[in-house]
Amino acid sequence: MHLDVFTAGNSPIHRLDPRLRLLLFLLLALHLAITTQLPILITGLTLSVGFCLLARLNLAQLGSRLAVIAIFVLLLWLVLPFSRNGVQLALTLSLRIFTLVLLAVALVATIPILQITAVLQNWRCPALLVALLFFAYKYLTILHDAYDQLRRAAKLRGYQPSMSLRSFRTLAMLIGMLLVRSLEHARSLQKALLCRGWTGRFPGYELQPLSMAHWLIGTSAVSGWVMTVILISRVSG
Amino acid sequence: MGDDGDIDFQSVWVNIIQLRSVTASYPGRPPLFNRFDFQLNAETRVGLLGSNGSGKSTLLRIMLGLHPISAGQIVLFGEDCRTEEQFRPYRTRIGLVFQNPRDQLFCPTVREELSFGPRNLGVSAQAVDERVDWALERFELTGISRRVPYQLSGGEQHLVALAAVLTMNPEVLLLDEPFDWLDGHRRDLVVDYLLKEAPGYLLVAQDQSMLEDLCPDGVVNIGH
Amino acid sequence: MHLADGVVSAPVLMIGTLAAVAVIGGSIRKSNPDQIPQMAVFTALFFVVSLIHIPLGPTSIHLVLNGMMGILLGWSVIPCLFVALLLQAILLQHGGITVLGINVLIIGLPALGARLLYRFGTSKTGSSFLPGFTAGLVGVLAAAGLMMLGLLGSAAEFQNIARLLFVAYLPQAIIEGVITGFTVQFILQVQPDLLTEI
Repeated sequence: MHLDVFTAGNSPIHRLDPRLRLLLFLLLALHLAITTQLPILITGLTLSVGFCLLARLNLAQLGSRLAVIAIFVLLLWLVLPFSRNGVQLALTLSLRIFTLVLLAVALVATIPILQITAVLQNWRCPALLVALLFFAYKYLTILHDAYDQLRRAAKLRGYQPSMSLRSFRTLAMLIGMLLVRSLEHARSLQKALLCRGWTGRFPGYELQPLSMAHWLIGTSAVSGWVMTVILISRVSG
Repeated sequence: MGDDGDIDFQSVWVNIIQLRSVTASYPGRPPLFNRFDFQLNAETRVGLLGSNGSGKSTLLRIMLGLHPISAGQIVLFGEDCRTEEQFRPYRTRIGLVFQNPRDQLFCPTVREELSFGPRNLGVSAQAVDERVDWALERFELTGISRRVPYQLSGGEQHLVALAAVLTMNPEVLLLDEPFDWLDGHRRDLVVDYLLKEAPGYLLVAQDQSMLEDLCPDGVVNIGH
Repeated sequence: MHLADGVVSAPVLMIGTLAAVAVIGGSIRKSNPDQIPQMAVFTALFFVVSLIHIPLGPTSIHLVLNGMMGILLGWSVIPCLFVALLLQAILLQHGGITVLGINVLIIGLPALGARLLYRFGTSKTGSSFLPGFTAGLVGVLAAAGLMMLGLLGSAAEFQNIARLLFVAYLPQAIIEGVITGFTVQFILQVQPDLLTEI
C-alpha cells in the first residue's frame, strides 16, 4: 500500500529536522487557525504554497488531496453566502482551510511516521500513544494486504458489492475475519515483546540534540513570522 | 454432481483460458512473464511446473484479472477480457483455489462457506443445499459442517476451500499447489476426485512427481 | 465527520482540545499497556476500514464503524482513535492535525456510548444483531451530531451546513448499523471471547 507519498525527497524542507518542522507547523497552524485577519491569512497561504514548492512535492498526489478539500470548500460557498456575514466567513474559511492543508502536507506529511514516533518519544508524549503509533503503522500494510486477499477470495466466489443485506453481511464477515486473524498476529507479537523484555521505549529511535544551525533556523523562522504579523497588522491598521 | 443437466461434447474443443503474448511483472521488478502464450481447453488436465518465485500463483491471478498485465490479451471463454466487468462473470465459472486455504475462508461455519459461492450465483436454496450436501459427503466433511473454518486444521481447511469452489460447479479448476496441506487420506480423497469427477483443471506444483499421474495432457514448465 | 483544520473557531478549538486532553489522559490510564499490540491492530483496522468505500448514488460512504470499535475496546477506543486519526491526518490528509483532539471526541465519545447501548441491549434481549445495529447506528448519528455541535458553536452561519451534513450521514448510519450488527454476530460465532468481557 503506497502510503508515504510525500516523504521521499531531498529538498531543504525534507532535510530540516523533524522536530523543527513539527514545531513550525504547530506554531503557524495554531495561529492561522484562529486569526480572522485577511492579510495574515493571505500571507499564510503564500507561505504555505512556498513551503510546498520548496519541498518539491508530488503535484499529482497533492492535487488529489486538495480535490477532496475543494469539494467541502465548494459546499461552503454554495451555502454560506446566503447568511449575513456569509461571504466574509466563506472567504476566511477557504483561505484558512487551504493554507492549513498545504502547511500540513509540506511540513508534517514530509516526515516519515517512524520519525514522528521518534519526535513524540523525544517530547515525552505518553508511552502508550508512541507505542501505538509505532505498531499501528506497521500493521497498516499487513491489514490492508490481508483485507485485499480476503476480498479477492470473496470476489472469486461471486461477491459483488451492492446495496443489499447479503452484500453487507459478506462485508461484515470480511471485516470480522480481518480482525480475528490480525488479533492472532498481535498475540504472537505480544508474547515476543514480553520475551524480549520490552520496556515501552524504542531505543533505536532516540534523537540527537538539535544542532546550533537548527536552533538558528528555528528562531529566525519564528521571529520572522512574528515580525511579519506585526508589520501586516500595522499596515492594515 | 449435477443438477445442471447434460454434458456438451462440443465443449471439449472450447478453449476456456487463453493468454496471448502476456507480459506482466511486479512494480519495480523485471518481468515475470514476457510475451507468454498459454491455452487451457475444457476437459483437459494440465500441469504447471515452476520453482518458488517463478510466478505460478501470479499467473493464476493474471488469468482471472486479479493481477495487472502490461501487454497482451487474456481471453476467457472466447471473450477478450480487460475490465473488471468483463472478468467478473467468468470468475465463478473458473474455480481458483489459492495455495493458502486461510486466505480464502471467511464464513462462520463450514456449511455457510460451501453455500457462499452458489448463493451468490443465484442458485435456488434447495439446489444450494444439494450441492453443499454433496461436497460435505464427497470430502468427508459432514462431521465438521458446523465448525468455524478458521479454527480447523490446515488439511481440513484445504478441503473446505476446495469444496467451497466446487459447489459453484466451475467448468475448469485452477489449483495452486493443492497437495501442500494434504497428506494421507485427505490427499487420496482429492486425487480420487480429480481423477474421477473433476472438470478440466490446471494443477500448479513445484515438484514433477505429483503432476505425472494427474496431468495426462501435458505439463508446462515455467521454472527459473 | 472528520473536521478539517481551520473550520472551527478559536473558543471551540481551545475548549475541545482541553476536553480531549482530559479524556485521552483518563482513557490512557484505564488502558492495559500489555494489550498494546491488540490495540494497534484495532487502530490499523479503523484506518483500513475507512478506505472501504460503499458507493451511494453520486457519492460514496467511507466506513467509520466507531460503534463497533467502542463495543470491542471500551475506554481504550480513545487512545486507539487518537493514533488512527493522527495517521489519517498525516497520511491521507483526512481530518486535521490542530483539530485532532476535537475529532477524537466527535468519533470517540459516541463509540463509548455505543458500547453502553450494546451492553444494555444484550442484557435485555438474547440477540446480538439488534444491539449491534443500534450501537453502529447511534455511533454514526451521535458523531454527526457532535460534528454539528462543533460547527454550530463556531459560527451561527454554519446552521444550514451543519444540518445538511447531519442529514447526509443518515443513510450511512443505517448502513453502518447493519454492518455492525452482522460483524458482532460473526465475532460471537468465531471468537466470542472478544465480546465476553462485556
